[in-house]
Amino acid sequence: MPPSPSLIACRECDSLHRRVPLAVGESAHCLRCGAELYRRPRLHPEQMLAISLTALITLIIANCLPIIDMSINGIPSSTTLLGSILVLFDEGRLTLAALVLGTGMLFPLLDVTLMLALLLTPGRPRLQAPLFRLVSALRPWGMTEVFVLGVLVSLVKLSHSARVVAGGALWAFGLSAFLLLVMAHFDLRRLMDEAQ
Amino acid sequence: MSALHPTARELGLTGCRRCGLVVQGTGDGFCPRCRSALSSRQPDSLTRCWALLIAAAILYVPANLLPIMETTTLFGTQRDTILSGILYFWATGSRGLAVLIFTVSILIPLMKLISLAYLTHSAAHPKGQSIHQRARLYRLVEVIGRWSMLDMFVVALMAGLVRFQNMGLIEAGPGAAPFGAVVVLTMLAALTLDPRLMWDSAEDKE
Ligand SMILES: [Zn+2]
Ligand SMILES: [Zn+2]
Repeated sequence: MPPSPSLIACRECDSLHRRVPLAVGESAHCLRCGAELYRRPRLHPEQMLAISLTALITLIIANCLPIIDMSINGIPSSTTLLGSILVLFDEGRLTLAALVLGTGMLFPLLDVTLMLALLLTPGRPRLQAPLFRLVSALRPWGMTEVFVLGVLVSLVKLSHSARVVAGGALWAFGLSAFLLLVMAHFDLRRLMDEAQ
Repeated sequence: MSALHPTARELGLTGCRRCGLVVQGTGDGFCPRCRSALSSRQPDSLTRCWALLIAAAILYVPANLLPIMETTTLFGTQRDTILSGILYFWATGSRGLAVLIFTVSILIPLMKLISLAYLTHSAAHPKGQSIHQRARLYRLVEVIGRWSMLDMFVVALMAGLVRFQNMGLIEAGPGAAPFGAVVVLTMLAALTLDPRLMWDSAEDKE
C-alpha cells in the first residue's frame, strides 16, 4: 500500500486535506472540525536540540536539589522528589509512590532523553520510528508543570504551621516545566515528514 | 456522505493518528512509517472507554470518602479527606487555594466522568448538542485531566517533609490510591475514545 505524502487526514474527524506549504510559525487547521492538522514550528531542530539538552540538565538538577526546606521549633527538614517517593514506598503506599515516580520524575526525564535521541538521529528511520512512537505515547503522562503547582500549594499549606523556604529544586523544576512546554509545542510529526 | 469534506475512509484511505501519514486501504495494519497500529476506525474503543469510565466511577467513591492524608501530632491523629482538606484551606483564609483544589480534585474528575460518558454515548446515539460543541468538550477534557494529579503531588511532598518524631508526622492515607487511579483511568478513557466515531455518527444530521 503506497503512502500519499501530499495528503493529511484530520486525527479527530478523518476529513482528508491536501498539504500546503506553511510560513514559519503557522499552523494548518481542519476545515470541518477546526482541529490542528500540522504546524511549521518557529524553532529549527538544532534549536530544539539545545532546548532539550538544557531541559535534561535542569531536570537532573531539579531531581537532585531539595524542593522545600522547613523547620519546626528549630528542627530542620527537607526533601527531594526521590526522597518523598521513597518515603511513600516505605509506608506501603505503592500506588501513589509509583504514580508520583512516573508522572513527576521518570516520564519527563524519558521524554527529554528520547527527544534528544530523536533529534540526534536524522535520516535513520529504523531508529526514529520507535523513538517517535515512544515520545508521543509518553508525553501526556509527564506532569512537571502540575508538580510545580503542587510544590507551591505545599509551601502555602506548610507556612501555616512551620517556617518554610522554597529549595533550589523549585526554580529548576519551574524552568524545566517551561522548556517541556516549548518542546510540546514543537510538532514532532514534522521530524517524520522531513525524514521521508 | 459529507460532500464538502470527504473523509479518508470514504476515499478508501487511512490516516495514521500518530505520525499523520495517509495510507491506501481501510483495513487494520501497521503504519509503514512509524509502525503504530493503523485503524480506519476503532469501534471497540467505545466499549473500552465505557469499561474505563465504570471503573473510574466506582473508584471515585473511595477516593472522596477515604482520607488521603493522616497527620499525627502530640494531640492525636487527624485524617483528612480531599473535601476536609479543602475546608481547612477555606477556614484558614486561603480561599483562592481552596477554590483551586476544589476545582482540580473534585470538579474536574466529576466533569470528566460525566463528559466522557456523554461523548461515548453520543458517539453511538447522536442527538442533543451539535457535533461542534461536543468536539470542543472532547478537547477540553483531553487538556484539563492532568491537573487533577495536583493533590497527589501535595500529599507526596507533605509525607516526605513532615517527619518530626513527636511534633508531627504526615502520612499518605488509603484514599490516595483510588484517587490516583481515577485520574489515570479517566486520562486513559479520553485517550481511548476514537473521536472519528463521533463525527461519523453526526454526519447524518448535518
Ligand atoms: Zn477535522
Ligand atoms: Zn504513522
